Amino acid sequence: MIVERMAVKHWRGFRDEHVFKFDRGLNLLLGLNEAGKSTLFEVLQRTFFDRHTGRAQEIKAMQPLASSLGPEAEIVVRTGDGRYRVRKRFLDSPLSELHLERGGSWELDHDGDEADARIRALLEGDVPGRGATKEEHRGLAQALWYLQRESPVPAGKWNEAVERGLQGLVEVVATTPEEEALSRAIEEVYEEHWTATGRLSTRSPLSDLRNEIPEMEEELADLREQLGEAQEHRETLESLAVQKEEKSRRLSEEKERAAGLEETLGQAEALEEEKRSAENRLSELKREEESASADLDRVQSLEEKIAEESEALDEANAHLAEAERDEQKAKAHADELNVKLNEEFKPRLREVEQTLGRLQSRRDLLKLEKEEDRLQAVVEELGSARAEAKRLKSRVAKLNAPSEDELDELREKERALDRARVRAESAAIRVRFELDYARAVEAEPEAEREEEEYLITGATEFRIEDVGSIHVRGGGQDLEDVREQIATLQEDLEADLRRYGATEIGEAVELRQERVDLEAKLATAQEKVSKLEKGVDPEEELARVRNEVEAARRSSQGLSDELLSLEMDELRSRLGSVEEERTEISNRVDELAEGHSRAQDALLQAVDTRGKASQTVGELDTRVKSLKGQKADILEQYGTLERLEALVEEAGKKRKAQESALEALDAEYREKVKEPREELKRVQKTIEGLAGDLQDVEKKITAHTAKIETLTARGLYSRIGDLEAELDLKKRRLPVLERRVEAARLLKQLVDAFQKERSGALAGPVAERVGTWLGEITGDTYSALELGTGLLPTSVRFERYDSPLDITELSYGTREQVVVLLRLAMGVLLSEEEPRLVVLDDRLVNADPVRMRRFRPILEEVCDSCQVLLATCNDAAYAGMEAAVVRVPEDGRGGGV
Amino acid sequence: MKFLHTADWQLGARSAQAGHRASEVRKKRLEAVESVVELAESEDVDFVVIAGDTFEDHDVDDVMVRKAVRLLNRLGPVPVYVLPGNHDPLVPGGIWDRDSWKRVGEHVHLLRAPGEIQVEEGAALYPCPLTQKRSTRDPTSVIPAREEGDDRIRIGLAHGALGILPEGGRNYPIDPARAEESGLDYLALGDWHGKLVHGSRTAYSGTIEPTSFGEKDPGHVLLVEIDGAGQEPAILGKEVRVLRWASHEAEIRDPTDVETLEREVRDLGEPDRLLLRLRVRLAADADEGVPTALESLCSELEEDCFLLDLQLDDSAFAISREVDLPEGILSRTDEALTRIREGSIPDGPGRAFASEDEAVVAEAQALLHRLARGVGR
Repeated sequence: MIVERMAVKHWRGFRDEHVFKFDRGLNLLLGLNEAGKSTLFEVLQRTFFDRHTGRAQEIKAMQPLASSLGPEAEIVVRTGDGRYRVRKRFLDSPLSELHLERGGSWELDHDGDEADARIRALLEGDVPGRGATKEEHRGLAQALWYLQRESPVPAGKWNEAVERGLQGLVEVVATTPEEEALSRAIEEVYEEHWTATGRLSTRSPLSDLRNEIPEMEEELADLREQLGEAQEHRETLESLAVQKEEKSRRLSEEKERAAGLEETLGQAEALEEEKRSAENRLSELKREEESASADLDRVQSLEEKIAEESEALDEANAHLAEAERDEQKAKAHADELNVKLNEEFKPRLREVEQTLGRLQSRRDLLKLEKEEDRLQAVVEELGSARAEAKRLKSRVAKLNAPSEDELDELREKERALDRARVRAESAAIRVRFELDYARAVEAEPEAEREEEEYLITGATEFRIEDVGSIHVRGGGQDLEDVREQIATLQEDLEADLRRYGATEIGEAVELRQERVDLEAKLATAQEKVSKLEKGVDPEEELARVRNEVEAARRSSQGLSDELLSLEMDELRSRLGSVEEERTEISNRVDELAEGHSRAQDALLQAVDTRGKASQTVGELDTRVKSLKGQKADILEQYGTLERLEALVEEAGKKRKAQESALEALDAEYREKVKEPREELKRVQKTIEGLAGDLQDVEKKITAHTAKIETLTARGLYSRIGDLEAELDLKKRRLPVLERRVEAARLLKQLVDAFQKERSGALAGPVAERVGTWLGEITGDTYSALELGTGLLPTSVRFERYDSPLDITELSYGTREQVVVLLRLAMGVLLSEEEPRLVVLDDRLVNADPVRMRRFRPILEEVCDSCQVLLATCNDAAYAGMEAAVVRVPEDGRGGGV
Repeated sequence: MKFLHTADWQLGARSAQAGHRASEVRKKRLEAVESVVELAESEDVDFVVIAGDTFEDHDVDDVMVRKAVRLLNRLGPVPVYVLPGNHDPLVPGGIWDRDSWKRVGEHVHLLRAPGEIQVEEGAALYPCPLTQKRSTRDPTSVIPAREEGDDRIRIGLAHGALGILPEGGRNYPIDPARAEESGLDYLALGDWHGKLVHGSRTAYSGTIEPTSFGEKDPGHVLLVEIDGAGQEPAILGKEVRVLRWASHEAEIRDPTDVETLEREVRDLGEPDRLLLRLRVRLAADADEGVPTALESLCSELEEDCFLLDLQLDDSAFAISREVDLPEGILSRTDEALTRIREGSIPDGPGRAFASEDEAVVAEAQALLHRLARGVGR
């Protein structure tokens, strides 16, 4: 089938009707990018293969923008059976018509869905699914039309129409529907178990089985492990059972021992009673012996004490007699001293003290009179000092002198005046007359002179004798101001000085000095007054002394004249000798008093010693009597001491005999009672320990048994049984299923191997043609295309290395060229009965100029048997070729051959 | 004196060969025990001896122990003497220490140690309990010889492999002459699952219920009557089993074979109590209608039997059938498969598959033929 004419409107950019006409051979669809070349191929696809009623997104997209008109096409084709006119409109008022040319005019052959089917059949297309038709449903066009945005080759294989078309060429590969059905069944069985890549399918029951078996084995192992715990507990229990048996055996043995010991101890009571009785008897004998021995000891002790006390009594009597003698001696000595003191020395002392009193009275009067005189002088001095101070204070008050601050102020003013004067002086004009003849010069007003220069501080007229006068104006305003300031300062200073009656600052300074001196004198006078006034008031003190003098004079009235005539020095001498005498007598008195006191103490001590000796004698006498009484009391029950001694000896013998008897009993007791009893205690302790151990072991046994009970209560054993049974079934099923699955694989692989052999036969002519062309355009770099299952290119022969090169390893451009050549070869082979339409939508853009040049003769060869629609934006690549150029308008308008 | 000799109850046995019916098979063993109890009651026996392996394992589910105890308690007051066997030996923490076992009545005597037990007036029992799973020691060696003047009936009770058995001597071997040597009137044995009487005084009662395919004469107890010391015991086997385990193989060639097979299977017993392991091979030259008849029978058996474990080998038949394979690759595939199956190396693409496993090749060809005939996959 070839296309002769195509009219299109309301289709994307082709809003108005555009008509395109095509030749039988090569047709170059020439237009710029985006001009609409691909749209024309879309028109071919949709018109030939899509339902006119389709509303898929791809179909809606054909409508021009903002248009509701239905995209419409009319295509005139020529087939081996004649010419057809195909007309289709989509979306709005959809329409499908197939017209057959009969006798030079078009007759409607079919319309609607039937027309759709008939139109599809022109290219052996399939019934489309929902939506727009896919590549695999486009019959022969899948191989012959190579459009933009479509796969270079199909994913699995070419569709049946293509295969059918190519099979028609090879006799040996003819197939039957029976073979196809059986092959499909084999395929289906295979696919139940295997994936397309030859892996076991997850859908396969074998896969399930292979997964289930390890899972079950794992679960089984887990359950067995859990039950294994019970066995571990059992093993532990076995060891515990041994322990329990051992402990029980030992416990029995110990209990038997204990029973034997208890039996032995049954005879212990009588022996214990006998021993107790013997012990009691011994105690009794010991008590008796101890009692007599104690009495004997006491008597002997009393006798010793009586002897000791009697001896002491004798000594005490001798001591008493001596004490009485000492007492008499002391009394006589004390009396002697007393007489001497009171009758001789005390009267002498009184006499000397009276003389001394008189002398002291006279001395005191003299001292007071002297003090009176001194105080009188002090009072007078104080009076004159107070008068001096008063006079000085009055002078200070009257003196008008500046204070230190005021003097500073005056000095500051004088310095200011000096500074002003200096300024005036420096501002003054200095005038010097150097005259050839001596002439008197007078200044009016008079000007200050420094050596020969006049210092002019204001307008001054110099009159030069018989020469004339010179008027000098100088100083200016500043000088005037300074002069005024000087006058002001001068007045101010003078006024201040006048306040102190001074005319210059030196006087003020003298005044200030005078005041300072006066104030210093005043301070001295005041200090003297203060000093004299300090402490007791002299006047009051004078009055007090005068009173004392009066009192002393009154008390001296009884003194002898001789005494009264004594002067101080003599008085002092007399006083010294009398005081010495008094001291001597007084010392003697003190000595005698002390000697008397000591004699009195010695007397008292002698009295006390005599008393104590007397008391000791009494006490000793009483004690001796008491001891003798006690001894008599003790001996009363025994008669005599000898009898008591005999009794003690007898009791000792009895006690010793009883002790011997008890010792024998003790030995028997130890052997028959004490030792067995201790042994019994030990055995009982061992029994307790063993019972405890046994209890521990039993507890452990109970714990392990309980764990076993818990484990067996879970139904693990049955679960294991069920799992084992299930696993047994699955494991027996596994080899059977494996054999079946492997059989499915083997059968499929065998069939595939034969299929491949046949595909090779089918692919032969195509591969041969492409191989030749590939060699031509690549300059024999590549050759011999290898086609795999489904006539899809798998590799090319790489001549340089004489080895196959996988198609995926070729560059994009070369791979594209291989695909173009494949489609062209299929076009040529499928066009043996009638020419077919081959479409290439800009698929050679990646070919370099050399390959393009080599490609041209191949294209010409193809065009001998096929119609080729080749879209390009560059017709220069096809220059020189016999081709119809169909221009596609840029704006979607116009068009033509 | 009449007593019941039973053994190898194997309660709780996992029954791994019973497939999805394993759990039910375990329950059926208890039904067999019930039959034993009923028999003991109906026969008015003086006592019952269980010669070991009452339980399959120490780990069996506790619920099984409880049920066993309930059934044993039903026997009271008839004394029951239970001997620990090699599956349930007397070990600490074993089945006999379970709380659930402790609920057993006083008439049930667990024989914990060898010795002499007065079971009846003038009758002594000599138990030989096992204390471990495996041993090469003859457990009956502890039975003392009859003393002179001892005119009591003497019964030995043991568990092990009598020297005459195919597997004798491996585990707990027992001297076949023990009864005579020890002056026993009867030696009650357990361990061998089939009913077996050796001489006139030594016997295995066998298991009360089969445990797997291939056991010989299982499912019995023995009623033993002894009139006096030195008298020959009267031993009577009584069937108590609930299920029957049977393996059967057959090659089917024509419809008659199918009928024969059906008859033979029906003869095995009631199907609802039958666990059948059936191996059927469809002969290569079998009649055309045979597969359908066989399929029908198998479906029937599947439905009727307690358990049908079927292996049907029809590959020879499938291969040998004439099939109308389309000329071309499929007929060439078939030819290649035939060549490989016959041990030759085929020409062409089939050559690469010459070393495939023979069974797989046969299965592949059978598959091809089945598909060609349009029958199942």
